[in-house]
Amino acid sequence: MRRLVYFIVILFSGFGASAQNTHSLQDTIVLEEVITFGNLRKYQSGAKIEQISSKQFEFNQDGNLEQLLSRTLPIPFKADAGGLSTIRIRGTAPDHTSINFGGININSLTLGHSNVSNIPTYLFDKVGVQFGSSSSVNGSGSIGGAVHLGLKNNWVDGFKAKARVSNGSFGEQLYGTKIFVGNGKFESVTRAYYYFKKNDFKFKSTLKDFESGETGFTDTQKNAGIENYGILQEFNYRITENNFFIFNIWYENNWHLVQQNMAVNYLNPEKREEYFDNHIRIWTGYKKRDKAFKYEINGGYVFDNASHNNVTEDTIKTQRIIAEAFIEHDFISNASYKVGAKASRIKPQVYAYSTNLEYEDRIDFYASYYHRFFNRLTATVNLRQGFVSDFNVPFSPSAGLNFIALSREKYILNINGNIASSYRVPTFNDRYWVPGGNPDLKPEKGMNYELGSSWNYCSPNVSGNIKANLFFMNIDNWILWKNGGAYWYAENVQKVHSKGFEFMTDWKYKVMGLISNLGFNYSYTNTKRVESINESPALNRQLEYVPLHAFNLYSITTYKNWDLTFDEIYTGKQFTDEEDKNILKAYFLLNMGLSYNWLINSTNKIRINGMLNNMLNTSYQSSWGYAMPGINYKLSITYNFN
Amino acid sequence: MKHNLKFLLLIAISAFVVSSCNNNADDAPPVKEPGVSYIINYGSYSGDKTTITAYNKETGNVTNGFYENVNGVAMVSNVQHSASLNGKVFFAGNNPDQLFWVDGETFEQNENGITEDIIKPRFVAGQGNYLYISCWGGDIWTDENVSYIAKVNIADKKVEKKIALPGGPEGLAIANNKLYAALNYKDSVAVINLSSEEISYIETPAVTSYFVKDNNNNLYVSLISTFSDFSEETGLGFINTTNDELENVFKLDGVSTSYVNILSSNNDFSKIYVMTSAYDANWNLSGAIATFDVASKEFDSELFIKDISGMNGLSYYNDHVFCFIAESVTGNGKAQTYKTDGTLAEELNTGIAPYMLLTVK
Repeated sequence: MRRLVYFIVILFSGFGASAQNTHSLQDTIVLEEVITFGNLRKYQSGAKIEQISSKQFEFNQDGNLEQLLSRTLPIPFKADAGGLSTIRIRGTAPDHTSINFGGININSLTLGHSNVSNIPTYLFDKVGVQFGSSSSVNGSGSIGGAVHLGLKNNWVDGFKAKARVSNGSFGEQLYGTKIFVGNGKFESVTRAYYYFKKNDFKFKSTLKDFESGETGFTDTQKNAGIENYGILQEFNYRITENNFFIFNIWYENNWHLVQQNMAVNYLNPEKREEYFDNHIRIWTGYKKRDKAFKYEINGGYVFDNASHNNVTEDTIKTQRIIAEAFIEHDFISNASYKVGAKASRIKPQVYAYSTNLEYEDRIDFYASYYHRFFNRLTATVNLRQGFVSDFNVPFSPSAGLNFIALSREKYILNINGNIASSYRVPTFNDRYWVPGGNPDLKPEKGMNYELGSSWNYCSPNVSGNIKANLFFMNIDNWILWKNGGAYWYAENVQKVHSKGFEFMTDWKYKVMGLISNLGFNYSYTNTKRVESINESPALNRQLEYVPLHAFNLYSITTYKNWDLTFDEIYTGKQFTDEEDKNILKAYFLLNMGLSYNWLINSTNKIRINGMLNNMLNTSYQSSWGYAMPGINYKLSITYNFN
Repeated sequence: MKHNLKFLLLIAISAFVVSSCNNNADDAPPVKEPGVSYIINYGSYSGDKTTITAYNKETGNVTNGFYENVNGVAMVSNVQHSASLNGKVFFAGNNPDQLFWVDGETFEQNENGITEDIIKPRFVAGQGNYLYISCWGGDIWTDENVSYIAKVNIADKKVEKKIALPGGPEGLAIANNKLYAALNYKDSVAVINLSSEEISYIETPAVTSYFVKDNNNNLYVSLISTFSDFSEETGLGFINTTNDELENVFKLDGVSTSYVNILSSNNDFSKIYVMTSAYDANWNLSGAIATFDVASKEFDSELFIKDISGMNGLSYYNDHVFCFIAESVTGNGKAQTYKTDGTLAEELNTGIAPYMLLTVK
């Protein structure tokens, strides 16, 4: 019975919609056998790792990563109306969250972060988020958190296909397809999408007409269109269930007109600023996991390219080749270790870099240890040491515990804790941009302390969980660009403390044929600049673009073939600079969706989905001075074959 | 609020006194400088926009957010440069690009600005009923031919003519009915005859950025080294505006490439203060001010001030050198005033990224 409870706990702790494959150890909660990010939790006891449920994922298939995560997890974003969005986990900067596709951190090596508006959820099967530092596992940049974009092994025997068409307000369109072909051993999975949005929404301007004296007039956003497309191809071959090859190639092409602020939009309506980027990401590997002694050999290649206003001679390109190998040994029934190395060579081609910079080599060595004591306590230790050409990388250890404090037939209470150090190697721009790049920068360093508990309950008609986490994070040598008089230059400027509390609960119950899923996430994030070499008036004040309070609520109710969903997002007030002015007001957004699953026959299914966003037509800003759309809709039809 | 109102009243009285003095110029000693000047704070390109700090030299009071106090709304542009002419203060603003103006006495804005044919404005110079605005016209760093001078008819409030001027005109000066434009992407100063609008060029050993005009209507121009046009011949150039020749180059390393007020002279034009930058003892880039002695035609061997972190511009006013400081564009900056012997006199709190001081003529 206890095993059943464990299973259900896994099911409803956010990982459970699809079939599970691997549970190498009894109380280890393992992410599904997702090709590209595998087993995250096993060696990170006490770390907070969440995965978006399949229902929530399904409702947000037309959107991007920001739309998905802001509705389902307590994560704030700084965003405009679709062209640019950056993630801010636990008060950290976008550069402090790695976004991982297989063994590739897709963050730009020049800027340090990703535009999460350009990460389409349609191409992926799962998204997992780790809150807090995880550099000892994920390497440089995972100070505030890590996002994992996942693909799921299907091992299709035959042919399956999906096609999706979506249409929404302001000229929004998405066309997508997923094609699965295989014979149970070999499979080819093709996923492709095309997204377009004219983005010509109306909004209430904050400007004043000095001749009429009018303020608050209605304006229409201009020149903020988006056009993205991408294709992700998988070729997988399995020898046995736990012995297989994978090959993934993801080509992404993103174009958007840089949204102008409200003043420019009104006064310079012709202003048009294009931003284009494209990427090739390849991740391939051989995985042998069928014995106590396991190993993987992986490799990758990444090409990133960007241009502004079609100025192709101002090259902004980087290329990387990556190789990784590790062994994992379950040397006794309750303990295992993992040892590996990851190497990469990076070749930047950026017009503003010193010509002396041809390439940079990086190699990380890591080791992890897992031990389970008395079926109640698991302990993990991770060690990582990176080496970068002409740059000193700090040693990065972490350790965690998970303790099953109570275990009854219907519920389990876990208490966990984790201490992790983290670091970020400065971006290429920070070190090599001419003028102002500073090769003598120190790495940003972080320490993360985490204490949490989760209570999981399961009865025949009701199941759910309550999770609470306390965290404290100390980030030192935070890099900013300083005014040097002649030009700006990169410098280790400030030290930031972030502490807070996160509460998450998710419940599923059945009543009179209704299956309902209710969830609530709240975060209290107290992030302060405690030291700065700049004369800052905002020392010991809440950091810019970090809401002290944020929460979201969601409900998904399923009745027969119908799904009805509501989600509400509250984002507290945010400072936008170091002065106590220009403060973004708190805002509340209400969204709803309704879906109908039409089972035509055993092989053909159609899902019709409608979404109504910002139902209260809230006028708000997520980035100072930039308009956001009011009420809008989205309709989609998905056809599933087999 | 009460304090602000009092200060506004004081400014109004000061302005009245100044204008009364002007009306009776024959009876009263000449007023060289108004009692109130305005520090322009650039703000942040992507966040807070320009704010104005009013400074009363008699009381030493500063009022931040002066424009917003008067007009009830904040400015929406980043002001690149400002000048006063015919009782108005004109602002050339970026992001959005516009030329807008306020009343020189009340600072009230009652009209919408001009946006047509004002693309990436850089600097404003005025004469008679015309303002001349150097405009980059677009991405000058990719196409040097897009720049121009906008000739604005103040009475009609529109750009009367666009005078094509390739090379990225930056600072402007008017002397002998000619408009001199420092070119930021070409080793030259352009000279535009304001009657015929014919353009000629004065070759310079480096690209140029700003001017100061001496008492004989001749010009000193800053010679700088930029990323796109490196030069070791940085310093000051002297232009004789009678024959439009570069007669002298006074070398100085590290002349600031900032797009802010980097040159200022004292009232009797015996000294020119030049903003420079250098690495300090800890290899941090910091600002400094060099002094050029006009009589000896040499830079002083000692810097006027140095090791100023975040230096963002300079001005000369009230017999003091104003050094504007902005370490970031997310927090307010400050102005440090120095006596002519280089000792610190006063520190004034400003808005974000102060860079120039404007006196209303």
